[in-house]
Amino acid sequence: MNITRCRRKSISAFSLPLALIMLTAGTSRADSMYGAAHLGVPVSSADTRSRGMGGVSMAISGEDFSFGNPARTVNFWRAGFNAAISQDYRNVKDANGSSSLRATNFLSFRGIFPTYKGYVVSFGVYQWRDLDWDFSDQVSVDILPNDIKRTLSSNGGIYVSRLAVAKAVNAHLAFGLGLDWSFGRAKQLRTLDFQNTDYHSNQESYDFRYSFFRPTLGVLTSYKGTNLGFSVTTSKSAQIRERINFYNGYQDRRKAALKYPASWRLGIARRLSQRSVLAADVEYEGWQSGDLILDSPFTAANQLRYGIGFELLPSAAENPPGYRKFPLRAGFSHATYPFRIAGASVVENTFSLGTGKYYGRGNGMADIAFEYLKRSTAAAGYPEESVFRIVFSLSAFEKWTARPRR
Amino acid sequence: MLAGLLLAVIGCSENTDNGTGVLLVPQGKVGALPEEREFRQAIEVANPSGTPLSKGDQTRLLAGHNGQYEMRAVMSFLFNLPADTRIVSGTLRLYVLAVNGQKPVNLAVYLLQQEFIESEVTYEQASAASPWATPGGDFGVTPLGSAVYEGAGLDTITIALDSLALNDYLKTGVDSLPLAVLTDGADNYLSLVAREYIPSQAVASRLDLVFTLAGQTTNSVVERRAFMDATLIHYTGTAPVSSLLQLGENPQSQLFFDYDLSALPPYATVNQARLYLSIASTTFIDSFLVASTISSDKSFVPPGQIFVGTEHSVRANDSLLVLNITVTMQSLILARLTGDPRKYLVLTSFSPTNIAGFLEFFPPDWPEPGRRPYLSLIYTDAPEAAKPAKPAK
Repeated sequence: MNITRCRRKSISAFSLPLALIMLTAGTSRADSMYGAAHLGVPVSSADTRSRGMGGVSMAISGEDFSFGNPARTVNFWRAGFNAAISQDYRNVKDANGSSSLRATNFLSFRGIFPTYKGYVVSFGVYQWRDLDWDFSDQVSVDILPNDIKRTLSSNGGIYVSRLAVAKAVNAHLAFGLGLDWSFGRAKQLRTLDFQNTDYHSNQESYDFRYSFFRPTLGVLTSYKGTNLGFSVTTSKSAQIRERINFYNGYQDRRKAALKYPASWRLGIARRLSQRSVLAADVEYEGWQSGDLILDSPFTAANQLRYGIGFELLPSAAENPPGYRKFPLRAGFSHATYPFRIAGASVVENTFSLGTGKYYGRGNGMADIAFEYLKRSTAAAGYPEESVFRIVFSLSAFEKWTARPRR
Repeated sequence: MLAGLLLAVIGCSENTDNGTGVLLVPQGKVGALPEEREFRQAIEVANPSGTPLSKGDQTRLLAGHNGQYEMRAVMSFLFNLPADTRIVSGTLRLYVLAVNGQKPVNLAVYLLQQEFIESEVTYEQASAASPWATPGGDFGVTPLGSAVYEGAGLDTITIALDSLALNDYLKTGVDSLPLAVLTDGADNYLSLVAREYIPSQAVASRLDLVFTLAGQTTNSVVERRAFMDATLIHYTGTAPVSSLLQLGENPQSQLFFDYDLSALPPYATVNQARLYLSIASTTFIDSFLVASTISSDKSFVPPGQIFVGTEHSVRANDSLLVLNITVTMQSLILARLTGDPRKYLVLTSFSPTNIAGFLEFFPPDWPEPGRRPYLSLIYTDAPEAAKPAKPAK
């Protein structure tokens, strides 16, 4: 293979998936209905590789761009960039029937730069809360000749922009510190369309803006093939700025205080053999101590997620079978949402599979994960939501360094 | 590659139908459904009268009589001729849009003795600072010209003007010619093209003057379109019945209602507001439009006031007027929220179109309850999430 052919293949390998994703992303629609009750749907900060392993990311080795543990970037010995997007195919079933929607989300971008004296600096943005949702129905009112079309929608998200630094103290211990700027916006709209020109519709629009800073501290230890990772993000009280516009022109601006609760994450990874690893994570956000006001029957709950994942690295043999040329990943995670409905938890169970591929002589990496998840609650009458999600990410690394081992 | 292909293949289909997951939206955001409420008794009803407005900005000129209304068209032409110019002949061309009533229509053109201001002229005054000595315009007894019109409309009336009288007028050193067009006392009237009829084109009444400059023997011609024109309207009938509510262009009167809206949620959206008024009588020229607005006090709302919502047409034989005042009521609700002192619902003649006329309605204290005015609202309260924690004062 000459150099020109190699470059062409490299460019097409990067650009074609991106171009196709951009083409299909234009018709994105709203996400989970479960985001309406609380501050959106929690979004995992794990990268595509970790998502293929049930979202475990706190303690695994290798070039992983997950945000869970700022200390974990000490694994990087060359600079790298990563961007991830997802495509959701959602189906909701409830007493009214079923509906399906498609959603395309930008998940994260991150750049990691090993610097002098063992310090690794990183910068990135990831989605923390997905505030997209919409619903519409038709209701009959005795005094009106037509049904009213009722539409509620929300568009937006809360993102975390993290500037982090990590440092390996010795071969067994590393620390990381991230400064997180959480920012976001949600535009919500309620419309009552009377479907009759004799009546004026109702329309109230809401514009919520979020912005606050808080730190995340992380630690990573490694001993005889076993890694332990832990990180904690402090609680923070901050203001949400709201602007509300009524149909008749009335406008109201207000600020509401919200305590974003502390959260912590703990993970363990164990190398089972030279080419396999088993890992598990636990993540906690204490929303019960937050002061988000929820309408009855919704009450605040602590958000808890645990996951377990396995990765089998590509075979080192000379002529392995085709499926052994790629890393194979699988995982499962279980999460309880940060609210209860009439006392019943809202749970999300996710099964995931994933793989990836270095190319461009190890200077580029494509990862893909497939997730199938179900959101449901034991409270009677509430819908069950199932989502098939494809997560795709591209990474690029410094070209003058050797391909690392994962 | 694989991901891209998968997204391309699977991502092409999309079903955006919804209707599920209703329960997961907090009720504070879903909000209430519309309600209906009738307001049978206004706290206060006022019926102030005003002075008739100038009709200089309308697209038609009227001349003649219609029932108890007398109408005169006034117009003025600019020309810049030396005082010693000799007028050989003068011709006035009026462009007829329609003719109403019995025919023929006998027209006479008079020279006004003072210039008027188009935006201020009425039957009573040439301008705000200069009332007519004789209401209806000051002019001599001898007309400049006359015509008998027997056509059916969309026509031109050509009137030869008295050249001697024009010469005498020119000698006074004036540079404009104000004229009044009157008919005899017959119950008929002409609708003529006013200069506003097509704003972008010169379509106003036309004056042709054939003249000879002093010391010359050659005749010249000057054509001029009216640079100002207006209709003077006079109501000759009896005063409206005081026990009824009047709404008129001429005589000029408005209706003010103050309703106790405290039963309405403060942040409600008015989806439909209808005011029902039983009509006791109608007196107007060919059409009458009713408009609405809001006001802070019961004094006559000046004509410059912006109307709210859409105007409603009333026909001569209507017995009930149902006004859709949704936008006006929304303005009242908004005023209440923002501390705006405007609290009165005002019904007014739509002056940009109405030339004259008035309506009489049965009042709230009329003995027959079925004829009393009432307000019907369909409104929807705002969702709790949209309401401020501290209610607006």
